[in-house]
Amino acid sequence: MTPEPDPLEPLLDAAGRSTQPADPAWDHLPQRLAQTPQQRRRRRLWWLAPPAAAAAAAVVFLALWRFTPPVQADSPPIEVKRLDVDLTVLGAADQDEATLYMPLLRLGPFTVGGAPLTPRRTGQALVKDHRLILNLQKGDNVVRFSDVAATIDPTSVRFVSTTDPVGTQVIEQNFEYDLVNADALLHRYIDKEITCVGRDGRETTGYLTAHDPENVVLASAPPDPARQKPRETQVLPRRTLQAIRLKEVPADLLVKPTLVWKLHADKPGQHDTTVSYLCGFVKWSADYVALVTPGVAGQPDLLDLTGWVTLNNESGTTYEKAGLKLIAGDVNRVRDPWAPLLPQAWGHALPSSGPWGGRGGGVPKELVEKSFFEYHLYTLTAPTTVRDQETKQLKLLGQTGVKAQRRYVFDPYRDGSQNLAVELVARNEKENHLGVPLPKGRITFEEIDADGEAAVTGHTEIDHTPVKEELTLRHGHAFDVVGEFKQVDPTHFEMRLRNHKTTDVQVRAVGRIQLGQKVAESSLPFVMHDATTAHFDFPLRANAQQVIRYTIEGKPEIPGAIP
Amino acid sequence: MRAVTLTDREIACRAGEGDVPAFVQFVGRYRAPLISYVYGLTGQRDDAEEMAQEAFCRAWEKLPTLRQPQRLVSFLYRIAHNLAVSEGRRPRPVTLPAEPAADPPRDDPGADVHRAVAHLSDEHRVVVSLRHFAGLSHEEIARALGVPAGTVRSRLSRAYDRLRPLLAHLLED
Repeated sequence: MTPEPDPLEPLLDAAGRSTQPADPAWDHLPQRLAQTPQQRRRRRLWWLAPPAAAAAAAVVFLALWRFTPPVQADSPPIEVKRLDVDLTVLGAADQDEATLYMPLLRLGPFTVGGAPLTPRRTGQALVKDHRLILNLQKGDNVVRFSDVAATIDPTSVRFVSTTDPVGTQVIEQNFEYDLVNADALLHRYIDKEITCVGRDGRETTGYLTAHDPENVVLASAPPDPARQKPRETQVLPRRTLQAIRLKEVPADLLVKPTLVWKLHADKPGQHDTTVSYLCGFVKWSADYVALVTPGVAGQPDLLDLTGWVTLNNESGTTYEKAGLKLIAGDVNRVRDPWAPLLPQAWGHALPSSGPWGGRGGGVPKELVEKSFFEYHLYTLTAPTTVRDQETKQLKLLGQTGVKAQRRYVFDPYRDGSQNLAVELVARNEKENHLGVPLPKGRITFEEIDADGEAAVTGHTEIDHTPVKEELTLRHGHAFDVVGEFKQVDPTHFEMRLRNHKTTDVQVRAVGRIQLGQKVAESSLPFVMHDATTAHFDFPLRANAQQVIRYTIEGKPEIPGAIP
Repeated sequence: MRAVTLTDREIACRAGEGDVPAFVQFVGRYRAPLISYVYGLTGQRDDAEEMAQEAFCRAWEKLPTLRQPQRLVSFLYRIAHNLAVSEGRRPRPVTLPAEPAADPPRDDPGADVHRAVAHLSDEHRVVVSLRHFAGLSHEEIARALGVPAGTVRSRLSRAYDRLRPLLAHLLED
């Protein structure tokens, strides 16, 4: 009789299979082990214990009796533990250049997290790292502060000990970024003995004299400063080698970029500290989806507006459970004078924000908006982990039933002499189901087609739009409303607008003049939008034509010229 | 590249002399069960991985002081256990709720199993972890822990008896 199989064991096996390592830090464990010194084996010298104890007691007694020196305990190593981190990301500017001093990027082709880091819009973020420093000694200490962004601007580092703000000061700071890689490692072995293993398994041992991507040069003997003994050298092409064997990794080579401080502390022990710094290659942008429901019988169109924040982190480190803040607005930046000038094309290489589908699961965290100086600050209500080489998307807003008027704009200097652009104009007000500051970003238009599916009908971009301002969404060009523009003579202009639709439309014709000129006469009332732009707003009936004639006068000014 | 598979004892001897690749082989062999083991103790999936790495580092650091190389696995589990216990006692800074994704879903049977295994005694938990999370045979567990194979079987049997009522809701499905 076969015993009934026990269902418990497969259940336990399945639980074991579901717990596989997922933390990328496992990949760095070998380096961490290589840098961790091992304790020495204790010898079993039991018989020495009683006399040693007696001798030690005698010494202590004598010391206490005769002298009063400071007791120097065997100090435990200084440890730095991360408590939490805040990340404030500035919106990426249109013409973003290297505005931070990021020394690691000057080393040439550099990879963060395995991906090549090519020059493009850098973005920047302020990192506020809250850490506990344990076992500080009174006086000067050397503190190694790792897990900082690879793109850190070391000139922006600010350190504060909340335990003893006055008595704890950074005397000296070094940013160490001589990271372990094959070339850096090999370079440390110049004039040292290494072994090259050929593809045929033959081993060649010698003293490394030089190396480049093609060859390794070995000498038969160590360098002789007196040059009395000639050295034989051998050039080994690297393509013929299967391995190069080195003795050990030099202790001063780092696995990750590290800030090394000489820190003076008046108060020994544990210090609660906050370190803030700027880093590059963290950026965010706003993306919106506007689902347009066309209005019928002269009613305005309705928009369902959904906004997403796309956050991109390529700074070379992960921010675990970070408090996230985003600043919207064009923050002034000063270009790093040492940064190489990038080709213009790189400045527009925006990272793809990924497909729109698949977001339906909803994001449980919300971005809360507040005013901040002359900008707007969006704070995520709960911490989030921002991983290195990650694009994260967070919901910014979801407004429905936003009324938008359709406007046909004839701007021949911008769109050509025939086309009328279609704009959806909505007031950014609470009464219109909106009333939130909208950061600059891209808008994707969608419309429900005959099958009831949402179809993409275009894209546009909006600028930062404050509350109570007009949100203008440019939505392609009209088919049935056309225009003509004609310069009759140097001062007389004529625009003809024709509506071939079966409904009335609202039209704006844009007249351009130069500085120093003005519109002297016009056949329709107009409003000067700015010094060089006149707006003629009027309704255009179905199957009707409107002619606008205007005359300009005055001599154009040359901007900047001294009158 | 190392092609030879070393025994735990050989690894203990080599790693005690500072052989990192040998110890890395040991890490690859035991990290999954150790994560499961710590996960059961702490109930925190992410912390478990971090703590398991810390346990490997501490084991590496103290390895030269290990007098019985055949007890390397017990040594590792003891370190991980102490770490998990001391971490549980440490006052944590007050933080906002963690990401929902970091917490195991309520209906995750794996999380229930790990919580149940955490209720076992230390010696039972280790054998269950090595048997089911590392996939070792009874004989391999016996060698790793330095106990007879019969002891491993009896400990497993008692562990199953304790687990059955705790996991009854999953076993009935």
